[in-house]
Amino acid sequence: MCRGPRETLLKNNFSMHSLRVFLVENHEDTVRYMQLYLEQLSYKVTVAADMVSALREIPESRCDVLISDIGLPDGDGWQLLEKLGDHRPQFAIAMSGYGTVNDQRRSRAAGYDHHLVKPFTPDALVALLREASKLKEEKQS
Amino acid sequence: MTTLREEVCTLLQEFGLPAVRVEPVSAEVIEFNGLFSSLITLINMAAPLDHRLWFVEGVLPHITRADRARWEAALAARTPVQVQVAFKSVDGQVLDFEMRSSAPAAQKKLGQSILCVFIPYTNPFFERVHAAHLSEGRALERCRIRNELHKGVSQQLLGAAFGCRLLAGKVVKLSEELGKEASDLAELLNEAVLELQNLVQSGENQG
Repeated sequence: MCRGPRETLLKNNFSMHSLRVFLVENHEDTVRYMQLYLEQLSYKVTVAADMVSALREIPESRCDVLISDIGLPDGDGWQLLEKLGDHRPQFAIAMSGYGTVNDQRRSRAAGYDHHLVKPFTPDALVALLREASKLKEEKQS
Repeated sequence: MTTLREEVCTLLQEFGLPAVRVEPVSAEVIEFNGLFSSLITLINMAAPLDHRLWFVEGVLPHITRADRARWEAALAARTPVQVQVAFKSVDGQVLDFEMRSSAPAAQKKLGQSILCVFIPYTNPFFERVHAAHLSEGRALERCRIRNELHKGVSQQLLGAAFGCRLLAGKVVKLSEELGKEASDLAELLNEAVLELQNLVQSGENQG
């Protein structure tokens, strides 16, 4: 069934309140549009372009979800999660151009809940954020 | 400027023949062509040799004792000689060659060296080398396309898909009709993303 644009927007906004997202991505256009789109859906989004900035800013941001590219200019997303230690957010999503079984396994081992292979659709990311939102609500109740 | 000495193995490569030029006393390799290198690699895959020893350790052990004595005697007398070389590839297949050698006196321009040319008897050696080269080329090309997809197109399409969805969300507030069009466009891009994702994944499965 075809869904209208307003209906899609409303559906995507459902239950998205107050989820704080930290986005680590060094591709300028991608990070810009992802941030704006997620903000349009009412997420609170903070971004960083490299591992050092992310390590510095994530503890202060108190984010619920980390979305990180695996290939970063000064390291990788797997190292990032390892170095975050206790500051790891409760939900983490890896993004990568590589999606072999080995890559996905490595993301899981590093502590990511999901491994998205680029390019992915906005719907795929939103579905995972909805899952994160649900988890947060369950923990709070 | 290249000399005849440097060009002889290359020239033989153009005729499709493995060739090597070695020192007369030590039999250390001075010059070789790509086909000779592929041949040695094919039979010594498990234990790669120093290229200077390719003839001593890669060729001489595959000549019978009688033929080797005949080969040495002929070269000492500076006469051309032909012997059989029975290589065995790592998968156990026998590759029979006739090795034609020419002593220094016979080809003064080649200096103090022995030129050895390998002519296959019956084994499809060239087809195997050719197939190996083609396969290597295909793998490299697949790798290049995959990297291009990862670094360039995938990343840009990802940004565009999010940008288009963002725009659709903004336009729908201004006009339901325009919003529908923008949403259709976003959906089209979504499908392109999925197509590309399938392509990337199938490339990864092929290795």
